[in-house]
Amino acid sequence: MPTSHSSEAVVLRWRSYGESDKIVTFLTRDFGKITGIGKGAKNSRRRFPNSLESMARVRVHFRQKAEASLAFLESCELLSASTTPMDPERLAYGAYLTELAEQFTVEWSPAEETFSLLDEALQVLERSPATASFLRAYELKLLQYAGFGSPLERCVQCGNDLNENEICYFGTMTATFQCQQCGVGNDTHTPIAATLLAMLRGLRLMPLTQCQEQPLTNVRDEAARLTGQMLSLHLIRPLRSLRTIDQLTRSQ
Amino acid sequence: MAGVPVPLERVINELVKLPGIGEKTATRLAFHLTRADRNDVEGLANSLLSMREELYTCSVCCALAGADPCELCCDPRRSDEIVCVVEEAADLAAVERSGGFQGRYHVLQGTLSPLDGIGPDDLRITELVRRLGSGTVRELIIATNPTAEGEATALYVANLTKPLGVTVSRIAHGLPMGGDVEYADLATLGKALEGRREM
Repeated sequence: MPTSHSSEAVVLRWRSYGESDKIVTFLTRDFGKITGIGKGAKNSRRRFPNSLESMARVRVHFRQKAEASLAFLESCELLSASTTPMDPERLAYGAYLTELAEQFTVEWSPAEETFSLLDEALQVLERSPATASFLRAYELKLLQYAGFGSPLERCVQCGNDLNENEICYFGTMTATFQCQQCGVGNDTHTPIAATLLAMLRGLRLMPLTQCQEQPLTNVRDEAARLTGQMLSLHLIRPLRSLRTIDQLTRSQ
Repeated sequence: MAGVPVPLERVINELVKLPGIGEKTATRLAFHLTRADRNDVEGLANSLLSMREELYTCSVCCALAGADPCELCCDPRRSDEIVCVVEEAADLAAVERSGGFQGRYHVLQGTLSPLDGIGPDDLRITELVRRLGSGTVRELIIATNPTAEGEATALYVANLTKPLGVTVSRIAHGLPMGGDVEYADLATLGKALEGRREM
């Protein structure tokens, strides 16, 4: 007997299936990531009114048979809708956040913190453009919620506090930080400015809404490279949205 | 595939590559073709081959056409001053069916779709800008779908083409004819209110 469920969710992606169906992946507040089939979803204005678009905030009602891999989507309603069209760049960054959330969550494994993070990030993005500090904060928080957060306060080797006045070392193979004494001379470790590490530490703790305004100034590119390396160790496949972001930034 | 002769299996393997066709449907279609009249099967095979050989992308509007430039771009009764920008050739056909548009078209062949890695370089936007450079076009009607991707594409095209001195308009969004306000969703109703008109 299939069990009926209902949860707040963000639509991560969808694809057409046959003439009128859609296969949709959601990140739900209560059940983690779920993928389901919406029968007649392309035509049904009553059961799925504009609610199966990527990045939409919805409440999804679905049934799940124990042995089935796909949930059966009963209906889905929009929880909020913006009348302001998203500009291309914000859409691309929204897709980036969504793609990351999809890769760092597992089907049917509750991830409420990640859901709240994505939900909040998409709302911030609706109000203002994505800044470098906002993106880095999102990446760091996501890594932490997914269980891949590197300690930014202590050396993983000796356990001593990382001194804010000294250079520390980042292990490119492990995405961990070491103090100057432990990291120096290690081929797989690159030196990191102490200011950058302090900045990342601050961003990871700060509420996402406040991160938008944080200036990264001279460490902007280095911060992006660092979090990019941390993420790449855990990505299952390359992020497609980066290609679009690249094209949009080049065309400006 | 067990129990299926190789020639039939070849057909199934080709059919299954089509969108929306699974292995079951492909097998059913393939078996149907084994029972079909030889002329019908030849007709299907030949039309598929000739489609590839005789179909062009119109160098003016970027629509799929049987000739280059296409019939619509060559029609002297149509106005050169208004261009309707659509996502796909199917959208062009839909606008054309309405009978309410007598200008020219431009087919973008998609929308910006970051989740699929599709950016402006993958669309026929350069061709549109080049077309506007001639100075004949006075108005651009952007008729991309009212989805997040369609809206973002519309905004991108508008930002790119407005500085060229062209009037850019967007097709209206809102309640469908014969629709019911009570059953309209948040987004549609919001758009309908935003785009209200004085009477």
